[in-house]
Amino acid sequence: MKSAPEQTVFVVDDDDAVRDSIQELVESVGLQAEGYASAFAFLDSFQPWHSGCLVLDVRMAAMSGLALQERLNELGFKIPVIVLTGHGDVPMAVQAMKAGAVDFIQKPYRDQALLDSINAALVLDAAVRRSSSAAESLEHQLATLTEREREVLNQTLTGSTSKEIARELSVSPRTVEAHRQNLLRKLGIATVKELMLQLAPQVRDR
Amino acid sequence: MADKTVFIISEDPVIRNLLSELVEAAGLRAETLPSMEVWFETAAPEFQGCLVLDTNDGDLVEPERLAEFVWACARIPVLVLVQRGAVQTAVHALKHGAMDVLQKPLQVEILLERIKQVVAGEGEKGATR
Repeated sequence: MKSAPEQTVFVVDDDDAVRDSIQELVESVGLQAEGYASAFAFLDSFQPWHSGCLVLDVRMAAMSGLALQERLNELGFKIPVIVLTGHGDVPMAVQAMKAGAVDFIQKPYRDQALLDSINAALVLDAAVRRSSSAAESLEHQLATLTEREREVLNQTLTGSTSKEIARELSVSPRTVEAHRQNLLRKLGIATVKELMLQLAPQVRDR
Repeated sequence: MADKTVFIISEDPVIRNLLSELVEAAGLRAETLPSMEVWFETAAPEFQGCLVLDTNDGDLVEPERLAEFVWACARIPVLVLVQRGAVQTAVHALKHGAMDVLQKPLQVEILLERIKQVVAGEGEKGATR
């Protein structure tokens, strides 16, 4: 097993034979697999905290693979998607990749090519989940700051010195320093330098 | 701001000339090159604009070509032109950082529109997640 113990390879294909053979292939290398015969059956049972990756056939009755991919994007589900197709063309591949597919594989596929792609997707999913849970916990800690600490934080991140911040907020530099110590403690960060490294990119993204 | 140039890379002189005429007719500066290697040798580091790369089937599957391509994508937005049906090449290009992939025969309007968007910095990344 790669990276995380509870990862599952979800296989969505309305062709029983293809679905079974992909499941068998996946299980043969010790990974966990679950098969679904339609996009709807998958959507009914899938929860955003399920980790792993999705192997998706393009051509299915009722809801196509590309439509399911769009639906997952609308729902904000970040599970990596590998698109499989029997009759691929360039526009379809471009559409799937632009919609965020990690790979687009044509049938007949080589077993090893599909497994390589699945492994890469599982590693990606684990990494995305790690970084988003880190971001969430930081978000949570930021919410515990007082308004003043927040102001001091924001100005610190823009590169202002204690003196400049003190002048700006009409308080003494020592008060600014005290706020800084408090906010560092609340965020569990040791030094201002580390604070800059951790938070500056985040704040810039906002 | 530095001048923006559309670098057209194709092994085929006919395609090079055709595309550069089209790009220039649309009011943009064009420069043509026979290969990515030549582009790396001649292009100044501060160049801006975009790169239009014409590929033959299988080009980007070769490791050296792919490495060059990835490096190019890191420096400048790249639009890739692929032969009809070259699904593998298209997927490879998008996976490794191409801004977009267009299939030949080209629809000139669409190509020019994409070039203008990309040069203006509005091109959405091909493989955003």
